[in-house]
Amino acid sequence: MDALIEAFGINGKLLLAQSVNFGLLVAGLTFFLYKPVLKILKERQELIEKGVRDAEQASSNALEAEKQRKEVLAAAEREAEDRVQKSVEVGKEERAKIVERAQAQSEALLKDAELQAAELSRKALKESEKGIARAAILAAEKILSAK
Amino acid sequence: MAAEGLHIALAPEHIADIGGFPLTPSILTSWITTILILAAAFFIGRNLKLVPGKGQVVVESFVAGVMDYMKNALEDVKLAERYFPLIASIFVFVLFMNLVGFLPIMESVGFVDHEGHFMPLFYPVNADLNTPLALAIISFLVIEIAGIVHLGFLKYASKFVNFSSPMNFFVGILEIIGNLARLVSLSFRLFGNILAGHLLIVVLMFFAAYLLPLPFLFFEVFVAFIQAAIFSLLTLFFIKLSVTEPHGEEHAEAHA
Repeated sequence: MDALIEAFGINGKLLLAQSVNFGLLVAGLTFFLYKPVLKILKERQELIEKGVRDAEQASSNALEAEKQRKEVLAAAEREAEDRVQKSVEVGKEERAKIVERAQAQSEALLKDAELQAAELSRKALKESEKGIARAAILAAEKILSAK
Repeated sequence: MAAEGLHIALAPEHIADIGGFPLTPSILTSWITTILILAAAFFIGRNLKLVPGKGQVVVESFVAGVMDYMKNALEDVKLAERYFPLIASIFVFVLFMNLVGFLPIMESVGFVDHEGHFMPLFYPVNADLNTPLALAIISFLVIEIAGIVHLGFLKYASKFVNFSSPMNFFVGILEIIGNLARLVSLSFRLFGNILAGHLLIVVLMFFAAYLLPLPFLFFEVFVAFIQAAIFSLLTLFFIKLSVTEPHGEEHAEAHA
């Protein structure tokens, strides 16, 4: 064993020195290179994930907006139709009312006219009765005076 | 120095003893390389941007790729995050130490000591068994500690010392030998591949300094990459094996 160690020049101090050397290299590389590189890789991954998420969000937002737009449009259309329907109904009602009122008015007018006519004819009759009476009196006077 | 002929040695030479510490060309090379890696890491880490440049893309793909692979292999995000620095650093360390070994300054830049002997300042780091062995020991310790932390000491120990049946007892002994053998297999695989590659290039350069070594250099760059991947992947898989429930337990739970 000693001969082997001698032949290959194995030396405890050299082994230790080389181990320390390697240990320093591991520590230095970890501190200077691996950690920063892993950090930047992670940062980039997060950035890309965020970008993808944002893009998805944006596209879903756009879809949502489009959907909302359609909904608003449909609602507006429905409302407009409703309004038209309602106004048509209101118009019909109004027309019916107006017609009814007009009928009532015309009936009232008619009645009035009839009443007036009746009054007029009654008056005329009375007048004519008066006239006939006067005429009769006059005739009688004439007849009497002639005698 | 070609006049001296081929200089091949398994054991590293000592440049100097500083307070009892043997300064070798390989450890000097590894220190300088470590400083360069850390400096590069510092500048890359400080200039990271959310919109990456080309260089950042390479670093990010490496980090994200290793992390994803570990999450798949360990089937646990927390475990993957805990052991990521070790696995990734083993890869970076082994790869860059291997690649630096191809620089022409290896074994050529140096000085002549007072005995008239040429002393190189730089040497391929993993062609010195001390480095792969140190890595293998760290890897071994992490693997065992991972098992103990994840499963608890008694359950983890039951993988190795188990008297529930003769079969399990022998499996436990095999398990002990297997785990200890990793120390040897991990370290010598890396050491052998890199030393062999280095020597192959040296020998080829000795025969023909121009052109001939080029295809072999390409191949050795490939080996450098593969060895870095193997060392880190094996450590990852051993961690996975170590944090997995012992087989006996699974059966007991299945029967219960």
